Parts: sequence; structure tokens; C-alpha cells
Amino acid sequence: MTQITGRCLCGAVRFSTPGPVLWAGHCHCDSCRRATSAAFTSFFGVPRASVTWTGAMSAHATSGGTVTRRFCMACGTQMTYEADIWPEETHLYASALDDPSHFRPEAHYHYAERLPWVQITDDLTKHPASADPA
Amino acid sequence: MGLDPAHLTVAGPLQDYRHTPASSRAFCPSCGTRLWFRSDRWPGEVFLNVGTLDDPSRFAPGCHVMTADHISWAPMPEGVPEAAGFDQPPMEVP
Repeated sequence: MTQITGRCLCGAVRFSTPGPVLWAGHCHCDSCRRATSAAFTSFFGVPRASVTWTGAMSAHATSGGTVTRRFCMACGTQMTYEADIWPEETHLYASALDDPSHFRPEAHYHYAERLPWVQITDDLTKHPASADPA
Repeated sequence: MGLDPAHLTVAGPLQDYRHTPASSRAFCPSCGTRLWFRSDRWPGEVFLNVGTLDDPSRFAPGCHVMTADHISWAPMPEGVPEAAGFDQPPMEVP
């Protein structure tokens, strides 16, 4: 199987995973928006044990310590979102992929939190919050 | 969003990252949040990342730039002004 590979802006942190991609989409929640400092975040989930890492990352805990976001210590690029409620998953960012054109979004998440000037015209599923029940 | 750096006040530690000697992308060393892009090409401007605003709904973008590099899956509204690149290179290609 072709490996899914990616890197941070400076290239110090790299990941590789055979997948599979469990889901893929755009997140409009406030914390993803702030962590990536963008209008919304495009990311996908893979099995946590499948990901091989190189390079040094810092970790930042949010949501009362139930979520960990890791980023490159040298350039700051966000690399992972990991939540205690999905212990088998690591969420990776589409923009960190070596070839982001391979990303295939299937849905929007936390669509109720989207910014008013973000115009979405696609036919993807719009989840008002997470796709999973709280 | 671009503004005059003379009007910008920064509190708290930040870490600069220079992808090239002429460009700067600073971030919070505690959580990694990207704060801005700066380039010696435009010394009188700092480009703040809109997702860092306390209220990001306040400033709707007026154009899309670098659309020559647009990724097909990234939503982009029709009818907004766009530019395939910059009139001058941003000096961030190593």
C-alpha cells in the first residue's frame, strides 16, 4: 500500500502511515480554528498505532487535558490532534501532507461554528457538531 | 489581514521561525499557534492570521491570492477578486 506521508514547514518533523484513512473533512470549531489560526481546518483520522514519526514535537493539552495537540518545536506547524475519547485515532492535517491533493474531504464538522464569511457551496455532509454523539 | 506593525502590541512570549532569512512566521512556543507572516519584501506590513482574532467574524477576506497553487478541495467562493500570485515574490522560497 502506498504510504501517506507529510511534514511540517521546516521539515524537521515527518510522519508516515499506511492508513487506512478512517474519515476526512473540514472542522469549523473554535479551537481548531485558533490552533491552526485559519478560517477552518482540514484533517483526517488514521489509526494512532499506524503512524511513524521523526523529529521533535511539543505537546499542548486542551479541553481540560482530554485533548493533546502536538506541533514542531522549530517552526510551530501543527501536526496532530489526539483526544482521549478516540484513543485509537490520530488526526493529521491535510495541509501537512507531502501531496495535499490526495486529501478527499467527506464532511464538515462543527458546521454551526463556521465563520459567517466562509462560503461553502459543496454537497458534503454538514454535521452541526462532531459526527459522534457527545 | 495586513496592517502597520507600528500599531501592533504583542504580549507574551513568541518564537520566530524564518523559512528564509527574509521571511518570518512567528508562533506561540506554548501551543504552536501561528501568529503572522512577515517579509522583508513588505517591511511596513505584518500579515496576521485571522484565526487568532478574538472575533474572526469581523474581517471578511476581500480577495484570494496565490490561486495558481489552489488545492481543488479547498472551498473558494465564486466572484471574489483573486490573484494567481503576487506582483512581487514574497521571498519565502528557500
